[in-house]
Amino acid sequence: MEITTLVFLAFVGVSCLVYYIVPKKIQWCVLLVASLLFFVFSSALLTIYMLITTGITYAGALIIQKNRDLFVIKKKELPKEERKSYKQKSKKRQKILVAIFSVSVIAILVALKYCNFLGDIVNSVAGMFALNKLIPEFNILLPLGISYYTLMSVSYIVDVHRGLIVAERNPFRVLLFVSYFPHIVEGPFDRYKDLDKQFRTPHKFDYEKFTGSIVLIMFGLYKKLVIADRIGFVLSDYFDNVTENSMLGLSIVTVLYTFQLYMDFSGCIDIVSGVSELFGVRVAQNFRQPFFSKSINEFWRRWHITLGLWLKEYVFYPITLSGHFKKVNQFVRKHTKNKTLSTFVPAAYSLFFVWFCNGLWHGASIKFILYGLYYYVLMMIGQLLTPLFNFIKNKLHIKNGRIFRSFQILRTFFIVNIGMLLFKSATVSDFLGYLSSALFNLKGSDLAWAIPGNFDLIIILIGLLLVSVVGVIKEKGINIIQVLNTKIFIIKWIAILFLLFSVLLTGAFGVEYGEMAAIYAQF
Amino acid sequence: MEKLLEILAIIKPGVDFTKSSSIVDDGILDSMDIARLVGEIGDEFDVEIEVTDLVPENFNSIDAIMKMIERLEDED
Amino acid sequence: MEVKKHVLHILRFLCFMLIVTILLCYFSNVLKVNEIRSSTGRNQVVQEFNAEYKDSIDVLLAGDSTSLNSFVPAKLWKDEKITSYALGYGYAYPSEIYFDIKKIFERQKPKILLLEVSFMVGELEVIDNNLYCQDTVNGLVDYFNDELLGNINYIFPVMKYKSSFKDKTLGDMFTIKPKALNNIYKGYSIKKNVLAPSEKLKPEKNTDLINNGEIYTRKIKNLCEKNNCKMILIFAPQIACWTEVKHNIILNLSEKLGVEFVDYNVNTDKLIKNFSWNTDTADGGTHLNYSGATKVTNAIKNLILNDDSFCKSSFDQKIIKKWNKDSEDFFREMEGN
Repeated sequence: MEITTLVFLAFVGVSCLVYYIVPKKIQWCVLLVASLLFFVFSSALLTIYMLITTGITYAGALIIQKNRDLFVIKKKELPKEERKSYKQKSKKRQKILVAIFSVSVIAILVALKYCNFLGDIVNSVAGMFALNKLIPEFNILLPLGISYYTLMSVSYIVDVHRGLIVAERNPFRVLLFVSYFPHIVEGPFDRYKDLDKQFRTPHKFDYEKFTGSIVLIMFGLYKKLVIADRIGFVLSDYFDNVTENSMLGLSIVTVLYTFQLYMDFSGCIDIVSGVSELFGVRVAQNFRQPFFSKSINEFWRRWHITLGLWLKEYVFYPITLSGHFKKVNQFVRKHTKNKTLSTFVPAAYSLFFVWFCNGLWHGASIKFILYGLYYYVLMMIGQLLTPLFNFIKNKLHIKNGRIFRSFQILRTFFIVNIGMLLFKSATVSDFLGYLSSALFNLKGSDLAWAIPGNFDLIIILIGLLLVSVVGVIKEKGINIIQVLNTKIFIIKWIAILFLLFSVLLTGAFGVEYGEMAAIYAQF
Repeated sequence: MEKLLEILAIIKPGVDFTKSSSIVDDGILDSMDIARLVGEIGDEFDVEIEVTDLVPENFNSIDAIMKMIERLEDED
Repeated sequence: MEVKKHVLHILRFLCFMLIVTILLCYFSNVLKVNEIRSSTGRNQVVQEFNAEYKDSIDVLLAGDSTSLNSFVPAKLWKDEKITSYALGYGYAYPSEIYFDIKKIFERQKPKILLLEVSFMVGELEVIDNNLYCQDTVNGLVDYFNDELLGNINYIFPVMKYKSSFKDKTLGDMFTIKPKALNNIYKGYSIKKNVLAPSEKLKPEKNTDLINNGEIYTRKIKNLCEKNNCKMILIFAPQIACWTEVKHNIILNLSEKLGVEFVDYNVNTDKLIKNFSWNTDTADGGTHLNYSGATKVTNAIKNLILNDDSFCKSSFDQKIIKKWNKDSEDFFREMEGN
């Protein structure tokens, strides 16, 4: 069930109706039933995989919780001398348990999503020894949102291990968290604590908040159907038909694609956030006007926020605080006297894994891994060269004014666009091909494919303008929906009517446009 | 206290940390800086910092960081 | 106080829905006007039906672009004085065809509906041989979506016609009662060139009814029964998209539904006089040219005349006059080129 279809909106409508009619104590059950129905209507029998993951997660968390509780009790009983060794033993046992259960659920993800990628690697290595195709290619269907619910399950297990939450005894509540339909399609990655609290709160129907959420949903539909899908349609022929990319042509296409990806992803996130808020449940924020970023570091704190947070919490910190990392730290210290280097290298070491995983999560191919490492390398270089940049900045008396900030924003935008071109390219060699063909090529024979026709161009520009204005307002810290909820309702009417009829009349759907499924739902 | 300030000076030179009470919230130290800091603190003070300690409250001011270090030294 | 608040909210909601309804009506109208005015348009045919007199069409042919090129209504009138019309467009969806036929039935009472089946059978994207019941589930979701979309578009065709929004003019915004343009082709799409087929058809894998073809064919049949119309499934002659597998699939469907099935790809020489792939196709076997269409029309004519249940309507003078004129204009144009 695509989230931009009428049947999905009808599904949400019916769910809302039931949700606000039933006794507040079982509202969460309505969400559970709706989520399971949504899952089955998307993945049919593949739902079993999600149920298995949930089962492992639920059981694992309970076992880890038991171990924690046992530790607390026993520690008090033991005499002081034995406490330290018991603590170490218990901790080690717990770490092993966490590892077993986390690895189990991730193994399911790897087996389904990455088996062909791994198979290719094995086959290439085998090929070097003249052994042909050891591992066949599997045709595997993925259950809905497996990349999302797997990582959220791991976060639940680890949060129980860290004592942030107590393991849930009711398996259905864990199932609701894992399968919650607003965040299963494209995220965001929620933490169990945040959602569980809201699932347990009774929700009364609030007309203003409800209609405010509808504005958000309409805005998301506008971004996705009017802007993103339109750009997708316009660009669909470029890479197939153009053999010689010009600098201008490739630039236009890349910028358009970057906007398409942003409108598609953030639009869908707006839709699912709005849908979740219809039920009074707020999901985590995933975008915060990313194109206002002044550095790539900042960009990844504003784009796909929850993925960055997940990687920070469950990859970066564990690696940085691990014993293994301490050894690396000590090794570096022994071998260099330079203090900057000795603090930089270990952090760079753990960050490598973060960006490797970021890239790999996006797709099972070398290209995606390089996508993640592209940002890693640039960030590390930036970090190392910061003293130099500061020196130059001071020498040239450049102040942190508007001009410099604009320069930073444009610079970041440029870097991000190169990254997006890599993201869009089918393979790394394609990416390099586009760049090399476009370099110094001022001919422009590909512009016909790159520039949208009049009608499409106007609609895209209006859309970009509207979204930019909204972005500027939000940058200033104004929560637009909240403001709409408090002002006179006619303004909300105008917003909904404008967005609704823009989508109906200028939405890029229907036979002429073909179907453009949400890009990030394929992960 | 001095050791801590020394470490911070290497990680982020030119910043006066004694004046701030919202080091993390203001973004003066980002997560990479925290990671480096944690590595150094772990070595210098011989404490084990847990992930659950990595919350803004523990790093927002020099006092907060010192308090956390002292607490961890006691626990062991 | 609580009750008052709720009542206010309900009033607000109803007011809002009223405004939405008015805007939907307005924009549907605007787009309808434009749809009629533009000379191309997927939904043009349904609009052009409005240029015909009420209850003046006896035979309706519906399908995708294949059907548009295989049947010449003007010829059926010239030879036997039977009124007919072709409804079709490329990449037709079963749900689309169903709702369009439903729309046509509002003003017309055809006695025979010839449903050309090319659009409902094709290659299924089966990945796992339905091991996980994915196809069943997808089909169900698509059906609900098609029903919602179809019914909404039936009343407020904003989403259906919106593609024509591009060519809007200011005048369209203010026209209240759009006047339908007359169409002398009656849905027939002329192709004049000749291109004999050269490639052999590649066998398709996983051929089956697609896009809920069965459900909608059944619905079309029920619609016909309600309107005293006889539905006959036909497979127009084509090299590009016909296989024996498809023939069997449609045969099964026709037996299930209890309707007649005439496949012009089987025993073509017997069914269509003088038909030849060397002279009668415009693009190597997908669409027929005028010569081929004329021959197929003759075959369809025989089919209709041999049908015991069919008896053509006796029309008013004004209808006969219109059809005579339209038919004359049509043949004059065909001979002129």
